[in-house]
Amino acid sequence: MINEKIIEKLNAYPDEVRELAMQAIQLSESFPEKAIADQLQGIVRKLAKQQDGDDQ
Amino acid sequence: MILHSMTVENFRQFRGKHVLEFYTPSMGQSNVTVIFGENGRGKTGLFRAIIFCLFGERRLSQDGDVLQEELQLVNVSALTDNPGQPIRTVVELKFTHREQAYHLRRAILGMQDGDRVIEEEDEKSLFLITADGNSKLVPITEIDAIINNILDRRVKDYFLLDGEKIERLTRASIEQRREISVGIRNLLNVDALEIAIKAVGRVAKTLDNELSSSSHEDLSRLLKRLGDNEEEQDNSRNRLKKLADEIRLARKEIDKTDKALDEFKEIRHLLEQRKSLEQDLQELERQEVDALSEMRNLVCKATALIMAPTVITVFEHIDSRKQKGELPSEIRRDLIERILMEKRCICGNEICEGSEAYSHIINWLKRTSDVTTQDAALNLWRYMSEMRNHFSDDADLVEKRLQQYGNINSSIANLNHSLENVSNQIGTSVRQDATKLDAYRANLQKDIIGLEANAQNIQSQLEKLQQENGRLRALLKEEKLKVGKNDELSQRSILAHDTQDALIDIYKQFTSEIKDLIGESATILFRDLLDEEGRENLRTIIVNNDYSLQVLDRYKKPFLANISAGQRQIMSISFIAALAIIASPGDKIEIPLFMDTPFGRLSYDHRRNLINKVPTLTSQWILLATDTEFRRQEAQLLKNTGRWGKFFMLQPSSNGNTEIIEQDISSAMAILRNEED
Repeated sequence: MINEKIIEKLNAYPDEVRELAMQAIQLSESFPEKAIADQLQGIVRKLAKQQDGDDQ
Repeated sequence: MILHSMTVENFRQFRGKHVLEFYTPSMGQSNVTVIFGENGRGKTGLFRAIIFCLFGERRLSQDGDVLQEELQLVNVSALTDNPGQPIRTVVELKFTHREQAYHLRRAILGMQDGDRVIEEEDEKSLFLITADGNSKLVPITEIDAIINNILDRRVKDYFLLDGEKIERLTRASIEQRREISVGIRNLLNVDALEIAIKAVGRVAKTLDNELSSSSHEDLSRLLKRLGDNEEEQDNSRNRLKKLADEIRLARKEIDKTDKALDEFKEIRHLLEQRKSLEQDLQELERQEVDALSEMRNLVCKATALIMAPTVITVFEHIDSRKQKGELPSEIRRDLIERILMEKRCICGNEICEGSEAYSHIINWLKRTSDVTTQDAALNLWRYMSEMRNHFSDDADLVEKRLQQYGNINSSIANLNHSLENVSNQIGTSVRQDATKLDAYRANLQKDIIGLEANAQNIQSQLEKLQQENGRLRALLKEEKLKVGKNDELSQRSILAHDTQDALIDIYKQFTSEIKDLIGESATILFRDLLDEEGRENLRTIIVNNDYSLQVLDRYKKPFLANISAGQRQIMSISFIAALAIIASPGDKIEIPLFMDTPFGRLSYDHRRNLINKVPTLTSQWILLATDTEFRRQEAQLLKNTGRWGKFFMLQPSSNGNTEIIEQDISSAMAILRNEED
């Protein structure tokens, strides 16, 4: 469970940043740093593509 | 959480089974229980029993470096009397939390094995008590989560406020800052956030590495600079960490040295006396040098004083002639000489030699002198008159300086004599060890000052590096945007960095908000607990950016250095209680607040305020007190609050064990000491 105050503060950031940050915090509850980083690589790629698509 | 009862069996000093029934809100408005006993009788042991029952932990924050195996829970005399037999130690808690009743029980088995004591967990059970009085057993795997929801294990230590913790917080040092930063971290529950920041940072770094091996030259150059900057920051952080460890170690070493010095207790005061005498001597020697230099400046005046009697005689002679009208003479000498030569008076009469008039004129001639001599005499008179006026002041000044110098000299002689005496008293070989220890301690203290200064330098270097890092990042982002809207790799890198920055910002905002919150809450308590004079001068507690505490006066100026020991204690109590309040969901401390011998150096007014205030702050106040601080006066104050419900005495029984005996409040009043006793 992500602290409500963190979600509230993340709302001030762009969607991709908020999404990546929330995924990172959620993963942090259960996995060690390296495993989280490995999983985040895929999420970053997906979000960057999504952002690119939105821009176009 | 309201504690209804606690049962301890063969736990530490408590051999056999003991039950403490606490006063609960259902019995009336009282919420204070006093557990009264001398030091070492097991007051803190009862708080340990609660923490053990709730979390299975035996260590409290105050245990510091005590080894885990030294924190034995099974009663020693039960083990000794039953060699080879397992002894069961049990703690049971009955409590309610938000309308739900709980019955928690934890047991361990202990056995003496030669010199060793083996202890292992035997039982952990939790029952939820339903409204109809039936109980429902909670699966063992869910117990920890349920308990942690009631009281987060990370903040459990805030509900025990002991003298040592109060003392630690009054020290303006790294220890204080550490304690506060740990408190804030625990309150924020920021572990996940920190891991997330690191993980996103790792992703950003991997992407940057890929980018720097790509063909964009400017990007590669900036990435290299950023990499170097981050490496330097890491180095600085590592050095800071190392320095903090060294400071902690030095402090531990000082504590050890103090303990060793305690063995030389009988000469400890002599060592302190010698140190103080040496400091006094240094100061006097400095004063002696100053006095000598002032005396050198007086040499001219002092020389003039040697001539004072002659000057005064000459002055008085001229002055008397002046008084008589001889100086300057009434008739000019050249006129008398002309009269004598012409033998005719100015009235026209002739003057014959040998006549009475002639001899008068001759006498006048004898009394007069020439104009040059008269002018010289008059100038001398004026000059000497001025000199004579200063003689008295100069003589006073010279005498004063001489006296001062003499006094300093004689004080130095006395001090040297006292020093010799004290050194002779200290000077056996065993005592030399104490002297060495004392010197060692002084060196450690000096080392700490040096290390702290070093840490401060590195901290400011780190801040500069962080500023440079921000600048480089901005440049890098610009460059990444320039090299390619179409470059997917650089977009990924920007996203990872932006996310890392966002998380770091949130982390910083969080920390700053909680610091302000603690400051505000501590200030409210502080003002309630202070005596009138303190309230007049001291206004606000703030948590500084470096996690140190500060008190501002009515002009909003830092005032911590000037507050009394009692006020410092009140400040620490306010801070810890503020942590407990913030750790509770409502505006009241939801968990029973244990205070272990909190009255230490507090004045009567501060004690009174504490006794009146704390029962209103918390659901339950368990006051663990000794006979020296909880006397009839304090008991009367507590009784007057109408909140005092229960009184237990911890009394020694055989083999170092302790009995828990409940007394009613009026008997307690009779047992307690009077101030005069």
